[in-house]
Amino acid sequence: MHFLTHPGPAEEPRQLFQWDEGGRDVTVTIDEGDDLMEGLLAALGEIGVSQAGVQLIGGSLASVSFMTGGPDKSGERVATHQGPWRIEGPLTLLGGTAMIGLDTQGQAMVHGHAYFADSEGEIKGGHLRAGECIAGPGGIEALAACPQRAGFKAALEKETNFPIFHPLDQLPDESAT
Amino acid sequence: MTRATLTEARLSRLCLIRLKPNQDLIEGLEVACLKAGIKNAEVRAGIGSLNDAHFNLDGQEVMVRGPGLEILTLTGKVNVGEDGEPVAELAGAICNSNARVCSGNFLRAQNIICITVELYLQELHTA
Repeated sequence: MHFLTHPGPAEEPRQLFQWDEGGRDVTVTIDEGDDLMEGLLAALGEIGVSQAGVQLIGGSLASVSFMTGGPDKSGERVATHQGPWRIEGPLTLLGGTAMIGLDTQGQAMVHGHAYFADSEGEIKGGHLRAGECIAGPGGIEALAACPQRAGFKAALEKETNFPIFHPLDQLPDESAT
Repeated sequence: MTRATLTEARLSRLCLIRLKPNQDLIEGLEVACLKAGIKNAEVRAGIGSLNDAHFNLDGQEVMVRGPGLEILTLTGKVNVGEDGEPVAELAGAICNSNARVCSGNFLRAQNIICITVELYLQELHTA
């Protein structure tokens, strides 16, 4: 197996979890011309949702901008983002995931990955850039599982040297709210 | 106008899970489920990254070299195994640094988490 040495200490526990007693399912339709990530945040925000695990079901993209992952040659982290890539549509959204939680300042944010096919069937995928993934004709459908009280909040993690989503009740000490 | 529509009033319990680096995706999820007391659940959403990816595609093992492979989708379930402990089965799609996408069933003990994996699990009730 391929293990990597991260810049900071590996702290226990290695698995974090938080239960939620039951939230709600919400279908989101991102309309043509709206940004996928910003549209998700805005539509869910309007009904009071700032935490969600979202499946991107399908739809079309007029354009997309994304990053990919690769080794970080600076040594500050084991991996980092590369790019950006930008592709003009029409593109068919084949699938993806968006995690909505709080950023380090406590504001709602979205972390999204997706893959899509161009008009010749070539498929690419990556880490979506907010504000630069525009829904195409017919829009985009998404299904969000929205907890009542549990959630994720980003906190800088010494081990990976990234701001990472942690369950709200298991934030690193210096990030606890 | 982009809009959200409530499609179901209430879900069964959700468990939000974060798995730290340098553990296997499937085995790490099983440990998390054991600690959380999860017996039966389905993956509602999952995102993260892997060092390398190993899939089973119709009996053929496919390997994609990383690190920093982005997990684009995760689907699957957790059930109780014969020994009473959680057993996870996961499928999904990943992409490499060239944005090339590969998907299949993740093989056990061969998909080491790079930076993080975050999941939403929905508890299932069995008769």
